[in-house]
Amino acid sequence: MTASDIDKAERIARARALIMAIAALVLLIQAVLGVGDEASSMTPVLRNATWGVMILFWLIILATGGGLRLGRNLRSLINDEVSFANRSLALQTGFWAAMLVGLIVYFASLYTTISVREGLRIVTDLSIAAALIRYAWLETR
Amino acid sequence: MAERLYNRLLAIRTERGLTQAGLAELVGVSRKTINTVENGIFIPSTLLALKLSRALGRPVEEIFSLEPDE
Repeated sequence: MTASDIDKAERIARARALIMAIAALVLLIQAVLGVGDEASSMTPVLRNATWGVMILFWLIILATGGGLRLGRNLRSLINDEVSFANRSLALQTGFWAAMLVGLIVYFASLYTTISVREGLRIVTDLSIAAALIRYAWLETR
Repeated sequence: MAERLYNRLLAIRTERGLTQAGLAELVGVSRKTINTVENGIFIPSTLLALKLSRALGRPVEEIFSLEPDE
């Protein structure tokens, strides 16, 4: 472990937090605008595949902390004890967001038509966005 | 039951002439970890507390305590 590793890890961790915050914003916008997105210029297959890949990507980052292509030293620095604890808290936030949004979508579906696909998409987008925002915030403390 | 873990990490680190990055390098963690432990934001694991103790050459109970300094 060298001083340059410490500096580099700090820069990478800050960049990761910033990218997560931006990704959360994108997911939030997508959750709001994405409902009934038949007007999108993408074909349904491409649209659904893009969404699925993006969600899987962020789930992997939330589960592992990312940095899979970095060296062992840097990876262990950006995913050290504090980052691990922050990730655990972020996942808790994501869980509670999923439960609350699920509840809201359930009751909203009593008054308006929400397809299963739309409902699942709203719950997934908002809960991952909540986890990413919490993680980004904790990492920049 | 104590609800806080107090530490003298900042005082001992500066006494040893170490920067946060320097201590982080010795322990093998990020500078953020040292910073959050120093500020009481993060309570370190036993493993990290022992590594800090070894790096600073002080007994762990001298660095961490259940009561604030007198």
